[in-house]
Amino acid sequence: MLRAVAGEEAVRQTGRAPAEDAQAEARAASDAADRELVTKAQAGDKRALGELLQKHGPSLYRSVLLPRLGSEAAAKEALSETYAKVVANIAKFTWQNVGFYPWLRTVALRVALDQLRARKRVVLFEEEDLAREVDEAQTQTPVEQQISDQRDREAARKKVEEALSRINPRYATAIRLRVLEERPREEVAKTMEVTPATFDVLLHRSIAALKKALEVKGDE
Amino acid sequence: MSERDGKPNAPVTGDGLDPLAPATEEELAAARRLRDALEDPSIPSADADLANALRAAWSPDALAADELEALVTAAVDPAAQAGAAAVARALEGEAPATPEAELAVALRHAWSPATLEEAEHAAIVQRAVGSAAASSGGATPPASSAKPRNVVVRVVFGASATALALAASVALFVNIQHAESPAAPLARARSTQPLFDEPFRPGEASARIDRIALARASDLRENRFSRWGVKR
Repeated sequence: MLRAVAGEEAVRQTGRAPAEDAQAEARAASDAADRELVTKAQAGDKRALGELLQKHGPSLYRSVLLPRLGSEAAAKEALSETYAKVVANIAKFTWQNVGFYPWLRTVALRVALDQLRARKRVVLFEEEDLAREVDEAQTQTPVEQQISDQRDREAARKKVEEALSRINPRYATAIRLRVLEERPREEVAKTMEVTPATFDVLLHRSIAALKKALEVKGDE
Repeated sequence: MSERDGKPNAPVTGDGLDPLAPATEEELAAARRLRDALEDPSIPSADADLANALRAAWSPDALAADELEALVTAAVDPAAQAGAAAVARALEGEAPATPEAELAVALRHAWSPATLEEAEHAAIVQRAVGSAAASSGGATPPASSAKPRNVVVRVVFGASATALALAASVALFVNIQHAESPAAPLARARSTQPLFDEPFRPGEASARIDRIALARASDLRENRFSRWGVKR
């Protein structure tokens, strides 16, 4: 009860809930740490630069690169290239009140866009999608990295949903169960009332239908 | 059944059991199992199998169109069959061997991307940071500190206040030059005339403004990328 009263008092005084205050404080502390690392990195401290990359790289890989490039090898290559660009350009980075991650994410998106342009095969994300994201990145990347990650993940899932909506519902179900939900082949075959061998063919046809749908959209 | 061989109520196998006899506990349990198995095909039951066989013989379900197509494809199109196998293998973790398999894996990564292993990430970071050190022959000096060091040298060897002021002004000029020379050139303010091939008709003013705003936004964006050093 006392805690609740104290919380209400904090809201009355600051206009924010204690949880929001704690979050803001954590972010400020993280930003301050990043800023110090950036300053050191710009002065030639390789260890500081390594710390920065260690801190932000996993999110960059999982939320930005892998969903957009669709292959672990391509995502790792893009991450490596992103790091190379960061190392080459860290001296030019100017600290702004949005922190370090939005800049890093923009660099990564541009690297991913270059990779998509170089690869001539059907993937879920198209060049136009990434070009638009790059445009928006500098002004619309949330300051909070977790929120940024969440939005990136949601954007990728929305892309998947959009793609599935363009094919036969039975095909979409096959892909959803086996590919997205990663259920065992036999289980999905049973759910779809076909034999496992028949399901393999059904799934292949589903993917082929999706590929065709994506190609058609790409040609529009 | 009772009309078999034209003889009503002729004895057949199982007829020894009186249909009206009260059910035993064992029979009741078996009946419940059969009922459940008929409602839920996943429950194994020999009795239900027989019942389904009877049902299939009496009123067989049609094969679903897509399943029929899949079966026919599997039989007459070995390439599709091989493609199906490639997709199945890729989803089990093998390297994708066909565009369809690549797409399947890409979908999975978009839906639920895996995390990068810590050791592998550390190796990538090490390669990036290490290669920077190798290319610069050790610690990378800050870009903005190189010029002031030259100024200090000049101060030490300078003899008069006039020379000091001159050196300072030269250093300032050099620093400004350095700060304003990113890798890619910046877009400059220019006439809007090249944006329009033909005159706008009355009432199209907003379209004209939109086009100018679009071009200016593009310039601003490119300039920011240049300043950030992420533009090729």
